[in-house]
Amino acid sequence: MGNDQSPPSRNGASRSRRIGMWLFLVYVILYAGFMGLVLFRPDMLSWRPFGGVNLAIAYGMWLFLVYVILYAGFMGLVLFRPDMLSWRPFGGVNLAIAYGMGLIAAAFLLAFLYMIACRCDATDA
Amino acid sequence: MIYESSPVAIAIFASFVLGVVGLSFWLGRKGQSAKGYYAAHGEIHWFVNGIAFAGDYLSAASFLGICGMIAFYGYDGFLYSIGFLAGWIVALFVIAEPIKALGKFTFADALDARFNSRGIKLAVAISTLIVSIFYLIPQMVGAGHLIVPLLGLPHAVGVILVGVAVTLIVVTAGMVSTTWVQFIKGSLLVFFCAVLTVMILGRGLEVNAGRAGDEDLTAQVRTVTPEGKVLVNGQPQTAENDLRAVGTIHALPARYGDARETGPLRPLEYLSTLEDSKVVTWSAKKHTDEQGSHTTYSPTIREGKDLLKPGGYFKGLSSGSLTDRLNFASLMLALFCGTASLPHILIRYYTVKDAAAARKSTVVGIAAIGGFYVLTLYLGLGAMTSGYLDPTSSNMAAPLLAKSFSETLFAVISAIAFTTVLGTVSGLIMAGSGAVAHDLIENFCGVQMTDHEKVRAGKIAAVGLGLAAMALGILFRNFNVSFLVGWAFHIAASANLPALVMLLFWSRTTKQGITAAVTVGMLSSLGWILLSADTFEKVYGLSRAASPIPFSQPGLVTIPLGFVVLVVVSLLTPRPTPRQVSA
Repeated sequence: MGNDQSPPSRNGASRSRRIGMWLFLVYVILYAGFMGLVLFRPDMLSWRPFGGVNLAIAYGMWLFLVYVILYAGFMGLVLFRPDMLSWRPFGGVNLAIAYGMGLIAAAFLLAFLYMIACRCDATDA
Repeated sequence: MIYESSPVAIAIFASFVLGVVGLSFWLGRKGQSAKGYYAAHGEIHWFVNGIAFAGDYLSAASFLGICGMIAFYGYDGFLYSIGFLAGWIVALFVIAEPIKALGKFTFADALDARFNSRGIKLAVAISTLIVSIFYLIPQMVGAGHLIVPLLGLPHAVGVILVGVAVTLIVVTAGMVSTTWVQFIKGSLLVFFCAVLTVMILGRGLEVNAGRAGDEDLTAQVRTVTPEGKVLVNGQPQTAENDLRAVGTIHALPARYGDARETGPLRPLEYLSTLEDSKVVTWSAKKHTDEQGSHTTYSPTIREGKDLLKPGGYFKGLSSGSLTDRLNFASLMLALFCGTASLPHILIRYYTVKDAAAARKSTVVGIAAIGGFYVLTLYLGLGAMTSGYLDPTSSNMAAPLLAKSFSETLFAVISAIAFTTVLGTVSGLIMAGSGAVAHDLIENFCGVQMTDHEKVRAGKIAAVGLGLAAMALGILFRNFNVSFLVGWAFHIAASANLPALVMLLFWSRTTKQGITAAVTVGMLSSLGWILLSADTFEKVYGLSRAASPIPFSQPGLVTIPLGFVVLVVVSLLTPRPTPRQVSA
């Protein structure tokens, strides 16, 4: 009852540390992958993953990736750590609602950014 | 529950339906070209098209279904909102820009733009028809279910009313009238739901709302005797002896002391206050004996915080069952991939001038649809605590919520729910009409037609589809059709998305690869669904254990399968010519 300021766990601090370590590990893997390419396969860095398409499509792909990561994070919580969704980060609404609303807002924000970014390509206002 | 028919509701219904049909006749008064019939001459303004996207997409499943699911089960209905909206991100970032460059009128045109292949035309036309029909049936059945309580007329009347109105809309002015009907419906839906949300926040939360006396937590029993009579708590159902309306707050948070209402609340405050409150929810249990089939509705007092987290409807999310979690992930994947693959959404891209307009209209669509889905959370929770819920029907949650404010608002919201069906069904009939007349007759069969004949073929196809829709809506009236919309997403995602994405982004895609991907995606998802445990239980009336399929939602398997089949078949068939790649 009342406003719970910390994730529901027997030991909130160790849970935060565990999450932090996992995120750090993910980042290390991504970073190592990048450095591996730089050191051993720099030719691959010339690869144009979206086939050298126009800017509008390229912007779209990057923004799409951002959304997919956000969305996958949400689905990961729903599937594997639903208890964390009861956490009320600022004492108000819980993470389930904040993240859900956040995804809806992010969809619109990304869409708006996309529209602005593509304006230079637009043939018509 | 028994509903009294409301003359105001009937008057508003009639004016909406006559209004949109009259508009269609007016828009169709000039003769039409094929481009006008199928693609509204490509002259629809991006803002109008964006709102029409919302009017096309937001069907009864979104409005009535999600609101009802939140009202009875809590948060999980909002997961549908999030899932439905996420699909628009795929539509915007992956599809909108390139698909405008391909194709003329239909989705088959887009997939076939480079190849001129009969195989593609046939496979895609069939996939369009199957997806459209699966999407159509629940809309038509839903229209009938709305008419019964609101007008006191038989189910078939609602189905025929929608069928006739939509056929007239499509036949008179094709995509032009369809677009404007969807624009009107989308605007009304979002506007009135916003009004309702403001009223919900203005009313705040109230203990035992809508009830004159003390809280009543006695269970209620509805019995249908073998002779077909309906009893409530053992006595014949009448206006005086009927099921009680339900759905109330049991206790406000401690900080409100003895107060029985909160007064007006801000948006986030509404949610956090509800989370700290206790709510009386109602669930149903059925059993049958020699006296008939009995459904017992029992109350449970639940903490708000347990209602505002996943697991109320998708039980596997809280129980951790692997099969349930696979089903959930599969469903979310189908919603994510399926939206951008729905034929009646894709054809909307041909009504605007160019790629820039296609993009802008998708952004407007996302804003309107996203805004609407935020409102659904408030509508659902408002209905949950309004004291006006019908324990037998989650689909009536939104109209009854409106009734808790005023009869006029109830009439308006009911009429809008009905127009919701009109907007989506007209889009589906347009997509189906294009598949039959343009893709199959003109392109696949190679029947040469003048422009005028193409339009006539489209109109005849629309009439045929309208009649089929009416027949199916009446035939399926007693089936649990809510899963059909999910099926449509799975088939669209499995059949259409792999072909569309690979065509747009992989130059090695061949026509045989596309034909194979569409065919295998469609057949595998359809086969999986027809053999699943859910279908065995709910459609065939057989035991779930007899199903050979491990989990019911196919997307996790059949969407990747579509991609794999396309890649393998493309690599095994001759490389496309440079002309085909650069087209």
